Amino acid sequence: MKIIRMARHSLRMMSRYKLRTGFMMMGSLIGITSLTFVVSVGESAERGVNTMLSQTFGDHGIVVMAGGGETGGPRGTATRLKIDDIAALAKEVPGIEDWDPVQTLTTSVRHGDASDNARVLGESERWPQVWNRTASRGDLFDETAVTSSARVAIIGETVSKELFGNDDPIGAEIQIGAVPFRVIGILESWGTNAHGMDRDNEIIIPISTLMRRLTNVDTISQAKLVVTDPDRSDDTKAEMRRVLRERYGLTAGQPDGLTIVTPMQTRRMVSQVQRVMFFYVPIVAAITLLVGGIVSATLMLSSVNERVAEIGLRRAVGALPADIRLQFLLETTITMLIGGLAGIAFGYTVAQLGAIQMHLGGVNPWTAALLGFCASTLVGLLAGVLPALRAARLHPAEALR
Amino acid sequence: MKILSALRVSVRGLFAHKVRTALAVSSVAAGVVAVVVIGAIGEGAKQEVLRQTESVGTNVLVIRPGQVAHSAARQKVRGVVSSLRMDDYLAITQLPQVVAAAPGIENVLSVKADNRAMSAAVLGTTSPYIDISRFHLRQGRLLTPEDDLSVARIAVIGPGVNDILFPQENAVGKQIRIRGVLFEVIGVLESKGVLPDGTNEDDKIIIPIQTAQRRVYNSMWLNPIYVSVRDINEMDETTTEITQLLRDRHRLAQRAKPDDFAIQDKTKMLAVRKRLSESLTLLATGLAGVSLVVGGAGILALMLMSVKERTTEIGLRIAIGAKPRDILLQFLLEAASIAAGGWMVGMVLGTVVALIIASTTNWKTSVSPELVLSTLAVVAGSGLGFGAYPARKASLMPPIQALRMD
Repeated sequence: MKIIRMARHSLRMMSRYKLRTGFMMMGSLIGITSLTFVVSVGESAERGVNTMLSQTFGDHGIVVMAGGGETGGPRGTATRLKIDDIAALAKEVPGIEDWDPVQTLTTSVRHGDASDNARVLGESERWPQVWNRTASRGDLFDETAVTSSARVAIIGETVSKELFGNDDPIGAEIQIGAVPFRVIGILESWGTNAHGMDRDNEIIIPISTLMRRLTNVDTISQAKLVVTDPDRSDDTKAEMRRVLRERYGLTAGQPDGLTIVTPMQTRRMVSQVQRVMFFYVPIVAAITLLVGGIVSATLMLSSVNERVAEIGLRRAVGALPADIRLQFLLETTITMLIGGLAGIAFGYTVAQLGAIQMHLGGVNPWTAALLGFCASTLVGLLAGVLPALRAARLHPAEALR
Repeated sequence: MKILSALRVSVRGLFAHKVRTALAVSSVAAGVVAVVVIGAIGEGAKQEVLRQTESVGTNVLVIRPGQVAHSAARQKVRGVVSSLRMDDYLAITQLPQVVAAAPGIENVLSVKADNRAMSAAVLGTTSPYIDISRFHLRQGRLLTPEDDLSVARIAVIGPGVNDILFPQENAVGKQIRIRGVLFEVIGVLESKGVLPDGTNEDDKIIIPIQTAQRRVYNSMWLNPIYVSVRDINEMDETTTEITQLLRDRHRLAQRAKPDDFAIQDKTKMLAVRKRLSESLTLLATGLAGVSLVVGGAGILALMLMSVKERTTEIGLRIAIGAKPRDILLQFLLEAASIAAGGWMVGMVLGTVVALIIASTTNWKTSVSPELVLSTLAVVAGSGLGFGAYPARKASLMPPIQALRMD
């Protein structure tokens, strides 16, 4: 019964001193809001940066190249890499998400009397997601274009400049070798690569068209496979080699002439960046927690200090220190609960808005909310209840003064 | 004089309530410390992330001979011309924006060792190339500046070449044949694996430029020249400078001819880098801003409480002739002093913390002057803004009512 009476008293006191109660609530609200915001935005930014890097730099890829390995003997390269081989890899080796075969040809390209010597890449319709490159303007080709060997081309900026100058190439006809193609899109600019090659002096066409109409071969020069877990790349690589050797019926020790490479340098870079981001968010969160804690402690201390006289009065009319303790515990708990819940809701909303503003993915506020709740409870006990207890132990006459 | 006496009243007011003042100052200070530290760490993290992305060589420009139109038989054709010489390369190295440059002459050739053979990209270049292209050494040694001038038959090979020509062996000290010419392997590179665009840099052989020109390719033309730019923000400027330099050297301007070379950067990598840099800046600003708001809310709350508690005092001052303006001034000055005090304490503490973090981690945290000034502006603004509201409220109160409270 006593606790209910005390609770009622606490509520009465709290509604009587609205400003003071408001400040205490604001303390926990501010602490939790800022922490929720910082942690959720920080985490989704960390995710965003990691995704951006691993997509652009392709740390999830494994590239299989025909040749490049040992040459010599009567057959030249030992194996002939075909699309079926890669399809088989995608089916038999676990953890392969996507793949794209590539065959290339360097040839002259014409439009009217303008010409250019460009690299023509035949690829499947999956090249944009596999190589993380896309058309900056115009369209991509789809699966039907690949099955029907459509004569459509997506041309790089250098090709466009050489053939069309400042004119719009989309919809125009160009001749690759002796075969007419329709330009459907402009490739996103890449610039130079490590060999100093111009990656914008390129044309992408369906691989079937390249094989049937331009090169008349059924082999591919390389293929990129995207794996789900880049940490297992080495196992996947070994498994891929095993499957391919089996398909070719090679005995142990016979060279296979295949080069299978993983993106080592890129992986090193991405993991370094991940490490930085991994430390960044917790440090910032810790600082925010500290600041939120100091500010809410400040607010609570100043509202409790004002109540020293009230405590003295209650002691003078017979309240025991235990009663005072119960009263302040109740008041603090109620305030913290209300402030904390409001803080979580508010912080989540702000974080969500911030994430949208910064083009980040969804946010997950629960760890931060829990942490903030514990912290604000601790602050509440230290800064809201302890000073009251000290006041309660004072001689009533002294406290009243 | 009036403002001085008002200031004296405010300061006395602050000293009379030591605990409250200390609490207000500390909450502003906490906010400022957080802004400084989070800002500094944010900048440090951003620099570190950008430095890491640099490890794939985003600051590299490539200069290549250009395609030039000319007539063959009766047709107009465009073809690559030989236009770059060693002199051009040496002139480019003299530009102030250029940290390092390396000439190149490269082709895919058949390479042999004992009874094994493979095709590999054989690049003739000079010692700076290794750094420009971010290669690392695994075994042996690299090309030295002395090798750049010599025609020594020495080669640094990629790990892919090592694995195929000398399986399970260390190739350093072994002999290889490039186009029939015997070379001694002096070093093996660390593996880079496949690059974002699908190129494999592990099957590479690097030999001195003079040897490549005279003994392997029998050609003095370069294709390409690699340039490492001092500052990533100077890429465009450097491109313009090099264009100008090469046009002058090739006497193209006088004859009104188009460029016989092309300069290219890693457009896509640069774009990603820019996006990364922008989002990290935004993130750091956003996170630091939160702390500032928290500190500001502290000022607001304490000022409100302070005004409320001192209503009697305000009433008394108005009753004996103080004008609302004087009261407003007094509280504004109080708020301003709290903000200024908190800012100074916060700045000093924050800088110390940032320095400690910088010295214990390898991040280059930096407290930028913009950050210092913007926190001052925000703290002063929020101090005055949050101080003004309660002060105005107090100054407009009828004295008799103010005196009667509690």
